[in-house]
Amino acid sequence: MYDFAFQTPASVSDAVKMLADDTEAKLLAGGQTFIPVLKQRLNKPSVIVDLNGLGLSGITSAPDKITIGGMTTHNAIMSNPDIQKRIPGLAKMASWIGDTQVRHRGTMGGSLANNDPSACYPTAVLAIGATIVTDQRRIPADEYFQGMFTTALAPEEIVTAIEFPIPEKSNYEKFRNPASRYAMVGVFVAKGPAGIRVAITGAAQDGVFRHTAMEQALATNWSADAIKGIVTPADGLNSDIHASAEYRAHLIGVMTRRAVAGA
Amino acid sequence: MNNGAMMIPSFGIGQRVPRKEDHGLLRGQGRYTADVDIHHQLHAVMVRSPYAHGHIRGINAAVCATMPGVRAIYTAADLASYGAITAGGQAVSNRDGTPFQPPPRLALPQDRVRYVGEVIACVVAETRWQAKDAAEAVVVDIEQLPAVTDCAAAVAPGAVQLHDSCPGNVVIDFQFGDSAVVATAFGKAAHVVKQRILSNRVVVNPMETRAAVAIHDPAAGHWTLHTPSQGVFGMRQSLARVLKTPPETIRVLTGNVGGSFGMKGQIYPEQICILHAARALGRPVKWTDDRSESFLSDNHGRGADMTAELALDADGRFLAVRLTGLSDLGAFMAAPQIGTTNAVKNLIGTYRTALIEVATKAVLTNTTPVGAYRGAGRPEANYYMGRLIDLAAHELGIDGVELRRRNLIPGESIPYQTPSKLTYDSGDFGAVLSETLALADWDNFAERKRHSATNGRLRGLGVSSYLESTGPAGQEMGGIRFEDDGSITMITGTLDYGQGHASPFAQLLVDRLGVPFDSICLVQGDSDQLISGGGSGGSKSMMASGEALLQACAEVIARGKQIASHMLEAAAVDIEFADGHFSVAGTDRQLALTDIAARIHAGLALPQDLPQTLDASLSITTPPSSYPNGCHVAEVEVDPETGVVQVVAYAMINDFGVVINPLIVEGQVHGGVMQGIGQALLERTLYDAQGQPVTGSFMDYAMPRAVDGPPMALGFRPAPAATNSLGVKGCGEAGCAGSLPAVMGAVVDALSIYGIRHIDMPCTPERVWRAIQAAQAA
Repeated sequence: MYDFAFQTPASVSDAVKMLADDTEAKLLAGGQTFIPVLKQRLNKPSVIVDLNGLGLSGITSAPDKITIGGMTTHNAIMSNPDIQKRIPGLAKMASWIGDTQVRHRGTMGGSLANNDPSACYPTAVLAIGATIVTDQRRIPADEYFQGMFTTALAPEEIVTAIEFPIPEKSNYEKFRNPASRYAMVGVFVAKGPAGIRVAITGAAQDGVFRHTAMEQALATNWSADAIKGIVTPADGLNSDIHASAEYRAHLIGVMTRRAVAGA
Repeated sequence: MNNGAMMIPSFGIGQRVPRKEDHGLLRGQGRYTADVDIHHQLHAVMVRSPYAHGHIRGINAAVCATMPGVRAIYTAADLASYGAITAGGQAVSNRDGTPFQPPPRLALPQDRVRYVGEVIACVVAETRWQAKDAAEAVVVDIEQLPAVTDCAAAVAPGAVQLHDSCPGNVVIDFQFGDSAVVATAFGKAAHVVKQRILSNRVVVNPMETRAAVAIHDPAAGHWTLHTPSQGVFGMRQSLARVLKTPPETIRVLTGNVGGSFGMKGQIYPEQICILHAARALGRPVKWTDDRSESFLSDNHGRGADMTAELALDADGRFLAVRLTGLSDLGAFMAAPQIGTTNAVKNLIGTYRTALIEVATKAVLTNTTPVGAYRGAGRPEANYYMGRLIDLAAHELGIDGVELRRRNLIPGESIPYQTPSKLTYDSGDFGAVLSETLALADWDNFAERKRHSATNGRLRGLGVSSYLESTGPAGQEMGGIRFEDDGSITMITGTLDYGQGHASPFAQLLVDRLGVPFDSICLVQGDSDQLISGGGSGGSKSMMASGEALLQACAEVIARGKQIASHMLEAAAVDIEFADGHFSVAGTDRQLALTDIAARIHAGLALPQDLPQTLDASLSITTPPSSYPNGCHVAEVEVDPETGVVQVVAYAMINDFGVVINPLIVEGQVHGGVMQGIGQALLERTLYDAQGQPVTGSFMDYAMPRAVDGPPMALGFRPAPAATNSLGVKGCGEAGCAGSLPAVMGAVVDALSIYGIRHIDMPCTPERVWRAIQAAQAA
């Protein structure tokens, strides 16, 4: 790490002000991506603003939605009975992130703000049609994700909560990168208020995307068989030492069928 | 405690005694090199080459020198008076009988870099962070040269040349066996199978990265170096040679070591840099590698491109085996034996094969040097043979187990002289195979395969009979010292870098001297206390240190008898020793060994013609190589839709001779199997065309995790070694030797429905999926 100042704001508005005061300032949520980056000296912030201790964690269940605080950990999400019962795909997803230590530190808000192209949560948010709540506004999922490591968030904007409507069905299947165990292809399928949606992560250069051909087929027939013949074009998919674009395209089909079959 | 006699059995030979060091290590009380801090120490950080190949045109440290806390920047010129770091290891000759000439490796390169991560300069500052900042400010002007990272490309005409002294990039042109006779056998054989087989390069990745703390005493002209190693005695000799100083002017101290697997067994440039810095600056200097640097600068393992051939007669009996091809050395020679002498010694394995030829070249590439890694050629040779047998079984239409049985060296042929000039002294390979098949429930595999099929999985079964030749004879110390607090210190020059030596060595003393287990301590990592020491490597610690400690026990007993005869006023010939007590034959007069030790410490006056101490310190020529062997059966499930391979069942019977501590031996085997699974399914080290590593972190380098390991059924069938007093054989590397062929055999078996007969390691999901696609398209 390089030297930096460490700030512990008393409120969200304090934190926003600290960010606004210094363009080199960075937010710290769970730190499970950011701290390794710092340790490798790949980022040199002047100030780190700690979001822990601002009361941004917690899960509340209402008849039409579940609201998850931005600083809620993966462990809290996977072990929450309401999420397990009402959005089982999300609980399963959280339980597959990292390892026990990571799940007790890493947060949903931090992951969504970072928008790593192989992160899991963006698929759940997009497929279920969640709303990203910030200190300033409410951002629909469809407008939030804007490409690899890019979101609709303004530089001083902080994710305070994520609101999930309750889907009738939800499931997640993840093909792990053999080394990092991030999603090499992750598929979230949902049938709910936002319609039938299939969201894919880890596969595309621009990060999470909706697979409209799969969605259309599933809209007429919610079954693995309905999407059996759908070929995903390899264009625009990632190609690296672990998986070529062609192999990823193939895995999208396999993982989507398995997600639907298990939903 | 006077119920010692009752306690002895539970700590004796053959008992599952937990590791003495676990209590401390699990409580965070281990003392690794990074835990060593010396008052007033400085910190070193290395400047490493960002390029795989290039001329160093200049090093500009002007800005670096002005940075806060910086005390020195060292480059090649500063270290010009030191010798080259050359490879250790056994002597290996070229095919014409000349000794091979390793390319000279200086601690810091003078004018050329040859791999990404090679140390170019060393920056020393008051704090580690100041040193890191300053190292980033060193500007190295390198004129990039084309790089060659593949050993086949390195020997091609017109290839980039790494070292002027090694034309064609060949360091060793090795040949063993009578080429003409072997060629004749192949020419006349009813069947020949031939397969190009790659052994993927792996990053060793011990939990503890390399580190060192150097201290220099100018008045005494003496260095102390704290560093992880595989044995301090040999490391001291190597350092002395490079520093051009007598060995007694260096003390090497190794505390706890968090894994090495062969990698920390040699000296590295960083140690020379900080020893120099400590003397030049008059202050202790500490260096600790980052994980990212560890990926680049620790010796890698494996790395070979071989073609293996087996000649069989019409009945499927092996006539001859031939191995030709290339070993990847990386940019310098670290270990000459891997694809050469160790290939010869381990290729024949458990099979009666009359003829062998190994004709291989050890080749330079612009990559991190390759050194010894868990087996150093032994697992690879067993793997090549295992693959050949599976291929032959298919070719001949003979069941793989039947083909193995037909060719195993029968028990009645032991001792058996191999064409590789080894003599197997013990073993019953057929019985080991039979017991393993029973343990694996081999006969009911078809049922399990059907069950897997109902889940959409292809189940495959693989078997390997392996045999290894452990490290050769050397010198080893056996020391036993009775301390004045009543404890007993064992001193020996092997080194436990995670294996757990203290308990099994203590079990020997419990058995031979009848002393309490808890009173016994092990001193291993202090060169000042050693009169010799071969270090650990080649699965030989129990053979070497065990034998040396036994001889030290005999010396203690011999001294004790003389002293007891005086104390008990009896003739020495009438003194007997049993269960920790010296007694006068036919009487109830006796003295405990530990009481004699206490009396001597309390000032017991002994006549001048008697030994004045019970302590023993001797150096022995250790017993020759032993031949641990066994049989592994692996079962895998392949997901044909994704190519994912999972090892789902594993069974093995091992002949490690007499097992001193089954708990520790099992742990060694489990670890070896996991590293084998890692190489077979997950691990690989890739470079791009410019020689940049693309698997330089755990984000891209796939290490095996617990979830990748199967439940393992493990049994022993000991045939005691006839070549050492304990009857022990080595166990440390055997897990890799058995698992590579068993796991890969199982994968190919699962894929055999597609007509697939061979696939190279690692069986990554995409590689397996592509093999299936290609086979279906064909």
